[in-house]
Amino acid sequence: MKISACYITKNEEANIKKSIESLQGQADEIIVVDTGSTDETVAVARQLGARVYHFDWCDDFAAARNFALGKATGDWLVLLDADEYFADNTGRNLRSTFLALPEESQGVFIRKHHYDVQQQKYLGSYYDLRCARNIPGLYYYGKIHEALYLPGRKELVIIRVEDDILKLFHTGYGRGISKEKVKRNLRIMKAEIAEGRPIEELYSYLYDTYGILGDEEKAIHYAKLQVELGRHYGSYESSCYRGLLVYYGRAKKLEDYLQRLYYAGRAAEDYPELPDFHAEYGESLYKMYRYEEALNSWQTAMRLAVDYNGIEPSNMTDAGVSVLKERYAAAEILAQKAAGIRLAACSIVRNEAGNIAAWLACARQFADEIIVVDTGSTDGTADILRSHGIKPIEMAWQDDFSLAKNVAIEAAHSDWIVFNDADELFSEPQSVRGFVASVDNMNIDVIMMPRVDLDKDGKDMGRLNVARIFRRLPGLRYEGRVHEQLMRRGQPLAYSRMLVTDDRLLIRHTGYQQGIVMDKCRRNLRLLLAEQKQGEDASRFGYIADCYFGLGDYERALNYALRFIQSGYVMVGRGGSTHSIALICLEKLGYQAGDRLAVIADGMEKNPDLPDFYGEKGIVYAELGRWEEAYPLLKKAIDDFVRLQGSGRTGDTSNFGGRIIRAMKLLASCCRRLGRDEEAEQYMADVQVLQPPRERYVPAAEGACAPEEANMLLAQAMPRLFVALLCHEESVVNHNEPSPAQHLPESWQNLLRLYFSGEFYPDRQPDSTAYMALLPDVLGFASADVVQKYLLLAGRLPEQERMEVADSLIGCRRYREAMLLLADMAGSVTESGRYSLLAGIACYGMGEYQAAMGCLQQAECRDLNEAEQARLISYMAWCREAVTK
Amino acid sequence: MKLTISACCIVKNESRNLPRWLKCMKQVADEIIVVDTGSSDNTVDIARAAGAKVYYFQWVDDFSAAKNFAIDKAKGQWIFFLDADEWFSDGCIDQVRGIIGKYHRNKKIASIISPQINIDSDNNNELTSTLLQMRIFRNLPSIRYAGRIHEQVQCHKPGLQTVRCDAIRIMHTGYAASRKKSKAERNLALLLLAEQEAIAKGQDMTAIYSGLMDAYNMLGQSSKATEYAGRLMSAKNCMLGMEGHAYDVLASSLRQQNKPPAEILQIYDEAIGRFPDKADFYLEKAFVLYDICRYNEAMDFLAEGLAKEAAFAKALQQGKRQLEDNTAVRLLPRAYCILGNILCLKGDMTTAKAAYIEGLRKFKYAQELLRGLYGCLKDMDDVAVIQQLNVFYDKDEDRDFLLSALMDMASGKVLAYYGKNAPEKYLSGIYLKLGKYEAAISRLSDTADWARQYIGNNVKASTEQG
Repeated sequence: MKISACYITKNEEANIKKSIESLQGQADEIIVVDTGSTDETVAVARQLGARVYHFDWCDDFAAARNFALGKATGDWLVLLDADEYFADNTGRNLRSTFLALPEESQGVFIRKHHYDVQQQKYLGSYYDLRCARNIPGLYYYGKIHEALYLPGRKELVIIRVEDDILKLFHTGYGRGISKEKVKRNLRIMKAEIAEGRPIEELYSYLYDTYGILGDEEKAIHYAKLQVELGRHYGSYESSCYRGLLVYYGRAKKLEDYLQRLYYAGRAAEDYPELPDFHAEYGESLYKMYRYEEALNSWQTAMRLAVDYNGIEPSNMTDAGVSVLKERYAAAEILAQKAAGIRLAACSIVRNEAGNIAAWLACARQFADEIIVVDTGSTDGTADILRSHGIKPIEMAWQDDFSLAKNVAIEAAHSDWIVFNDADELFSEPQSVRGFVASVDNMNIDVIMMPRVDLDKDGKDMGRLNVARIFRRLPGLRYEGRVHEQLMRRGQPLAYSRMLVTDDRLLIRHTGYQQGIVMDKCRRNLRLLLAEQKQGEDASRFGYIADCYFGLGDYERALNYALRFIQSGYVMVGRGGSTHSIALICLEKLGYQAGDRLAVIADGMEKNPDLPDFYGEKGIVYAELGRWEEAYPLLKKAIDDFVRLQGSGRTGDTSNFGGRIIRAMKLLASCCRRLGRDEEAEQYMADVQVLQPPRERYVPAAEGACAPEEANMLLAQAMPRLFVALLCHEESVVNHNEPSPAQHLPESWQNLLRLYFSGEFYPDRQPDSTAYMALLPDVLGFASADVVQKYLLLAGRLPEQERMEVADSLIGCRRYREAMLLLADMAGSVTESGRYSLLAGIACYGMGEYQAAMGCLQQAECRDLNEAEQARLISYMAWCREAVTK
Repeated sequence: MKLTISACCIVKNESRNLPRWLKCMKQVADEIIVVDTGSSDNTVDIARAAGAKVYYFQWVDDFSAAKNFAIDKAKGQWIFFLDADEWFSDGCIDQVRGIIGKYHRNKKIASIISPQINIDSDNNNELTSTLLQMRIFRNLPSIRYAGRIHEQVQCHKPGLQTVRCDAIRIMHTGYAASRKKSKAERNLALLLLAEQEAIAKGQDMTAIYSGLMDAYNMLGQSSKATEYAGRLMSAKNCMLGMEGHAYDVLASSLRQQNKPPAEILQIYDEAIGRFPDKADFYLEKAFVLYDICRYNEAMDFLAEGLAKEAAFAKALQQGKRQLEDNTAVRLLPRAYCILGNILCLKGDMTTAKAAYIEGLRKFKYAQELLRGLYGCLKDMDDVAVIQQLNVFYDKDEDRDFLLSALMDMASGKVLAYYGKNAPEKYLSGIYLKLGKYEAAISRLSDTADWARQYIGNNVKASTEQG
């Protein structure tokens, strides 16, 4: 049997001797293909008996190696790199090994140990294909990261040989190489891909390469792609998985935890024989409080760690195993706890057919009992519950959220209550039970978690911390008709008994989607004002301020906000929000800096950890032109806010998110004024990212229209804007930008307010001129229900004006609406000639000729002006005609 | 003998209008004669460059003198004496010579009256009125102009005829809204001068009364206008083609003076009495009655007026009543509209719809008629509505007209149908109707922002200039 050793070299004078010598004379021929050495490599090789060939380097490893293969005449090939050598004299076992191998074996995996010679460090080992039978057609494929194949890209049948028989050492930097070589490899890879090599073949190499070059983003990108391909022909592909686990192991946000969980799961699946990944998976599960599952994974890991002998290198040392054993023990206790505690999922519902199924699915993942109180659903919610095996507790709605909720608590038998609204879902319901178990022994009664409000597109609208899990204790109940709070026997809870989680127990809330917000504000306001009627309670003023603020009534919002601040009460988990509201109100209402600074100072004192208030102070200073003082305040506020966002903990919520763009713009101005132009550019660039400039509609290019035309455009646009806002409440109130309503005259804005929230302003009257002026556009453009509601508003007008409206409606042939309006009127006006005339015309228009005749005859006896007389005559004639038909 | 035509014109500072007049005359006339009465712009150069024969005439406050001077220079057999702001319509210009040739063979025919179509060039070339004018006549010594102002062609040879030719249509922009006032001022001075002369010479005052009435009316001096209208009506001769114009002026000046409707109605009653076959006064009276809510009476007068108008149109077709203007045409759109409106009030939607449709058949771009019709269609489903509209309109050509007329009335679906590829300015309305409120609000806000800024800048600019 003939053995051929094949090398490709370039400037390896230092290594080639050692390598060839390590063959211990077992090779019958030594082929060295040199690709352009400028040192003594060629001479040294020749001296050692090698046949040296020259090959022009063309950025193609496979080509060079195949050239070498072409020169080999042996039955078995030994394919080493110049910087690899057989260690511990194992080279002398080559021939005997080849002879002993079964017939079907086509290649040999030999364990290769890596040394960083310079740093004198052992870097680990893995198996590599270093010997192959010289089968006709055997070839390398890949300009870089070349691999050995049989014709048709068929993989070789490979036998693994142990260290004691054949063992290789490799000098250099681990699996990787110098940065120069890495860059070269990247270059070759890119070229190959450009020429058509499927990029999938190179994912793990790209991961590796970018990792060495320090481009973490790209490295992770390719690692992910590799993982999605699954396990791969070759060895050490698990590095991609490991890389991802390390990357996401620095978890800050829920996303990171979940990604790590996913990749650990994939790794365990794709490498089931490797103990490492089962251990990692267990770790991820443990971090998500899923103790039982963690135990399973760790058990598997520990079992596999005993006598592991797979091809894929394992990092599981003995020390690692004992650490694992400790964690296992700790997790066991928690798992037992988790199995033992009882959780009740509770909710109160009313017409939640759209949400309840999802809520149930979530609850089932952690709850032992499910209790739902239905306060009068008419949309089939109760049926849906029953179809899922839940019998709802039915009770009448009594304008009292706490009452209903406490009914649910009373019906529970568990240790802990999880009280989510129907539109609140845990992001990770599987983590709930474990988490509660982990705190059960602590002196904690209430668990708060961050809740993110999502709009209809799933976009984050804001966060705050909410209390949703609490022990079932006597006296721990809800109080307050709305904005119900947990109280212990009527006393607010001590902070020390509350725990705030991070995003792992995040709740997603869809209840503040556009269109619902304003309705909720009104509903809450109704309840809150009803509460106040029973006795003034300043502790609720903060919520009242919230409601008025949400409805855009900045004056009342400010009033209540200030009174709340002065009262000394605090809203749990929402420390600075009333101050923030007050500040926006002050701004919208045009108050001076002094007033704003006073509120800011108070906010700062009470909430020193929030960026909000020194941010607001910075804003005020910047607006006053005090750039030097503004700069550090704004900078700190923005930096702190960003850090707060990235940390995954919400703490006491910051409301600065709504002001951040304003702050950044002002900070940019400060920078410019202070000569820091580059910094200014940076902040303006950030603003562009946060708020990409919207393309504005321009009716006509400069000079393309006369000022009269512009006036006409304006005159046409304004009423239509009014109507559009009537139909789209969400657009009316905007705290952070000027609202579109601001284009409208004050009397029109007042009309909007009355239209939407008139119930809270019973004494306000709409401006009749404005009302009448807008009527044609409302009738022409608004939907039927908006028209109806607008006409209802006419009920607030003085009687004469109401008749005008009725007349207008008659002019548009809207007889029914006119009649409704007239019918609603009472008193002396109904005795007037005009009234009877209009009623008569309306009846005539609706085809009720007898009734019309009656009214018209009445009108005949009453005072009418000339035009009215004329109309009367016409209609009476027509009426007679119609009656006789 | 070959027909020869001379086109004549007297001018003063007509550099704007003359090129069009020259271009037109070149197509129909064999020689062009331009008499300049004192231009200070480059009118004369323009005329010369076009190959016209240019003469200078010292202005003596006498239109006829200047015009007759031009006729004296003309060598052609026929004279075309169109004003500088007149021209033959595109539709007839190719036939003009042929028509004149036909009349030329009949030696008895000496002059031709044809419709002069007045358009307001400041107002999208909207038709303001149609009058009969004599602009074409044989070049005979006996045919000359008379009168300082509102000069008339007069024939001193007996036995010669005037024919009416509706095929020849003369377009005229001279009464554009902006220029009316300055013309009126100029005319007033001349007229007062002429008045003095006429009184001194004991001449017929009819034409002068008419001229003064018009001038005062144009200048908004309603009491004076009323005075001269009264005088004109007391005079027994009315000008050709202007019967009853006095009544119109009288009625409008009374309106200006805010006189009670009863007085105005009285005027129309008188006019109806004097000219029982003219549709105009029935219709005008109907309009007033409508305004004061006397609907049934209005309907009666509308019916009469429309009948009279139809009768006149028929007579014209049969070659009768050649010398009368059909001035009522301009009142028809409103008449049909009001008729339809009253029928709607009455609740007779079927007949109302018919009235609107009849009006639209003749005047399809009368917005009020379209809106009236649409009001009757509201209960129909969208497809039926579209079908009805497509009877009159082309989806693509008439898109802008339909959108601007019906934006507030049409349903979202109808608007979407016509609004495909609509220009930007209609989009906010369409979005609003389609329920795309956010998009509508965004556009409307931007429009308001832009408009305010634009106006603000202009105010700033004008205050800076001023």
